[in-house]
Amino acid sequence: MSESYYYCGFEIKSSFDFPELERSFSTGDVPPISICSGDVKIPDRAELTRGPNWAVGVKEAYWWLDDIAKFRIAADGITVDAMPNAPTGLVRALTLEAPMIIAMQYRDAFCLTVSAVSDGKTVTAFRFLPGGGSSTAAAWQVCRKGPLSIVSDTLLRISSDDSGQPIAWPQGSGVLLWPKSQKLLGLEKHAKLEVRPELPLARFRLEDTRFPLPLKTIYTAALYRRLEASPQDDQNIVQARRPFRFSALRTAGRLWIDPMGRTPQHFAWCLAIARYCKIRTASFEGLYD
Amino acid sequence: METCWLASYPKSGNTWFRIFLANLLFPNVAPVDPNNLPISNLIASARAPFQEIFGFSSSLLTSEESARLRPSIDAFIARDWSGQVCLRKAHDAYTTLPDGRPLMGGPPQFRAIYLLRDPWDVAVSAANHWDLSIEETVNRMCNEQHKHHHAHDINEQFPQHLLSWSQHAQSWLNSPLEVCLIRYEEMHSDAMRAFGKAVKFLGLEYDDKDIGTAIQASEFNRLQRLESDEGFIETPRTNTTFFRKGIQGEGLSILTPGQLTRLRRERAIVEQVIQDLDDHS
Repeated sequence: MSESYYYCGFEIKSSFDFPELERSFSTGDVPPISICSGDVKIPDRAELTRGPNWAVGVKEAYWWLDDIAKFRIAADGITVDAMPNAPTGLVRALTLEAPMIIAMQYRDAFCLTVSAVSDGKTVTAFRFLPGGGSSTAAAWQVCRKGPLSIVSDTLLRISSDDSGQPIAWPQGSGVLLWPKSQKLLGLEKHAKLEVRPELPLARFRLEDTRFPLPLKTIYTAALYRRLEASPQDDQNIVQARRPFRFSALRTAGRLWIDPMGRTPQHFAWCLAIARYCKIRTASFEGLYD
Repeated sequence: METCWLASYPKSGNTWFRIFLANLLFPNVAPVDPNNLPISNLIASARAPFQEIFGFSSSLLTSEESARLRPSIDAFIARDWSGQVCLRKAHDAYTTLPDGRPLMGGPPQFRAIYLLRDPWDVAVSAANHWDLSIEETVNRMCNEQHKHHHAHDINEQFPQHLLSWSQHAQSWLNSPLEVCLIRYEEMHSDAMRAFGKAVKFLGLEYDDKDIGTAIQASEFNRLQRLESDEGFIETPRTNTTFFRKGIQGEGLSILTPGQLTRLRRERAIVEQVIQDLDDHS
């Protein structure tokens, strides 16, 4: 039995349930990515480039988390080999991160690790340090400022239209929030989905954007001084250098792109973002006024 | 490449030392901008490399699960390090994971410079940094179980196991790593000797003139002026400063006799460990 879900502009055909995903988003005409259960053995082949929990080649990759699950990933789909006692919510959440990032990269589809919102016409993204409150910032815009809607929480897939304009695809998996943020946003009584029983982190479905829209601006926090502050000279030389550097560094799964042989495609993707998008430093007042 | 931890209890001169090292390694841009150091600012407890190296958000894991993966991050970072020396800031104590592996790695891939500062001065500085009273700060420094932890929240760093002030120092000094002890007070009173010892330990080939120039470029007064004029990225709140006073013995006149007694006890434990190590060597 196979169910269809939407994720980052793709249709997922999965042999197990994804309660965190929905179906009613626009995907265009792209072949689905399959997700199924099966045995996965990590091969010891020299052509795979290895990291601490991954082995990536030109056509297939392996990703694992000890005691939780192993994944085999190719362009057409993902095989999941979960350990018997692994928390199912965690296995699902992991599947939607690294293995999906790799599967999308095999299709030359790249994501930024950002939260994002839209006003129905364009998309604005937020990228702070991991753990720095990007999700909260995006949720705040939707809950307190409006009329805005969530585009992404962790992964923002970006493609280009015919003119080269970067197009941001809704992620479609809601927003993950910790209790402090839930309280800040007044969401304590809002419907939520537990990620795993060991953590108070919960997934919320707020107002969603359901169609791809142009990406215009990316906000980073002042914590990003190394990316943000230096570049008086950047602005004087080439205005697009900052967004290029940002997109190159903040591409989800960037360490895997070279071993896959996708560097030229990634370079072109970064250029498209650099040409059309602005990087701005977020101020506390600007975000939370 | 081998990793050298620049380990210390918070507010013990770690940032100051890294500014010195940046001035030493990059004399062409000295005095360096503390807000944009030409050397890595990557603290051992940072979450940022986790997502990049493992490919998923650490917020999906419990703090214990994340801690188990931290040695792999440090090994991966060292593998791809391109600078002259892989020196990384650490405030964690040297502890072991439930499976017996050291959180901060073992020899010979890991070594450490340990910065030690008089605990009464740490208390004054840390109270300001943590926005706590002196009493609360002293309680923390004497708490054997203490760790920066956010059970119902998350921030940019993993929980750091600090333990008590004395246990923090003991954990590093008694660790299996090769450790070079540098006293904060000596960084002030005999900077050439203190910084020179660290430079030698790092295996860097610089002469006294280079070291002296880097010390001069890293003067505490200059860092205070810069923070006042331009701000500093590590300043914890808008109404305080990071490079506060940096003077020796300030805590002796600020802490109560009871607080000083507790910290003198902590200090005595560490001095005994140092004495034992000196006797042994």
